Amino acid sequence: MRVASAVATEKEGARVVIASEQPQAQYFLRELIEGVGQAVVVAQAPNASTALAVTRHLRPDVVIIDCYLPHVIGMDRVALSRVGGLDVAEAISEEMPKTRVVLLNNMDTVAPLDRRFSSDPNSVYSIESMGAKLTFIPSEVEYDKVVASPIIFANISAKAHTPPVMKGIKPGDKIMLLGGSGIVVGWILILTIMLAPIGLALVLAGGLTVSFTLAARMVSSWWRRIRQPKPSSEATVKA
Amino acid sequence: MIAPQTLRECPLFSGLPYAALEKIAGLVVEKEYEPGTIVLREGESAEELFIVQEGKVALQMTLPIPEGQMSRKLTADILTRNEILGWSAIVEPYVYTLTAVCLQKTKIFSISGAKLRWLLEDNPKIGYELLKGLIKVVASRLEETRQLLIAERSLTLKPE
Repeated sequence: MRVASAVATEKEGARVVIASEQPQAQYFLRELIEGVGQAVVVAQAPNASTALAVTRHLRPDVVIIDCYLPHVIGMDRVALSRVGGLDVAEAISEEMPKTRVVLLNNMDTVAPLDRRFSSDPNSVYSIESMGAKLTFIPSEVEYDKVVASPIIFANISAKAHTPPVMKGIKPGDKIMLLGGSGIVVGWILILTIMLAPIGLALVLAGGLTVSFTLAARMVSSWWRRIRQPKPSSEATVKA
Repeated sequence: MIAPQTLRECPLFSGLPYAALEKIAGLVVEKEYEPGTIVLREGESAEELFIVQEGKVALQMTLPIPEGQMSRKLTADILTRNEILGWSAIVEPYVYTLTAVCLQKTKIFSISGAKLRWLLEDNPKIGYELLKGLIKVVASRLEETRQLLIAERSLTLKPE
């Protein structure tokens, strides 16, 4: 069981405990939760008994539990030794009502648990409840009417990741290419001595083109950044 | 009305002839439950038999609370597609022995216990085949529970 030594601040996101028997599943969930940058996993528990003890000790914001969790130890081929998730979810929600409990119900069918996946916000996997993606945002938790129940019954959702469609070269890139080509051709002409004046003109024109294009991109990026709305200070656990 | 062939996928009805499946299919009502919904409660009158079609249902039993115990309820099993719950609806004293909670959005076939019992009494051959199927289901669950008991005991008795 790994326990983070530092207490997460509001900046780092919600403090989350994960409870799942398989190390691959723990790693998968950790990457999934921390990948979106709004939560930090403070502990991982392999069984219900440890999950309850850790939650009592750390008082996390959220506990995510695999429904197929053994009480103390899972026996290899005995499926009934691994049905303790709902029990510990209920125990935690009764004992610590401020801790949000998420019960994952399809870890047995989510594949592939052992692969590393991108922590990109548009990643393939997400945790969903009632068709809506769960996000873990720190403190000031406002309970949405949809998640009024003490336990959030959720699933890992796998969406097919479609790579962005290449629509051809952008105009800005074309202009930069033109400018760069002008510089190269200009230098070649300079080397011929006879056409040096033309070459010099081409180098200057190409250099100015590239510089203006880069400057325009920087200004455009800065403008987009300052016009972006700031995130709200009120936080919700959405479902 | 559901297709009678659909019932054949359930172990309880797998040994029944098509004509019997048709009669039982006429009794089936399809129901959907949201996650967290309680389908049946321990101790209540067993009026319906259920067959899970989609989703997952946890079967819980209530225990008295000894000092230091984690929970009042313990999950005995998690049921998935084509597994039955609420078979107390056709077995005396017609009282549910467990509580069933949906873990996911669940689609269930519901069969009225009273109508099914009437059908079985009126057609003893169907009744015999269905009860054979029920015994297989109950025996299978008993075997799984026995395995769990033996495995847990062997852990506690393991020499150090």
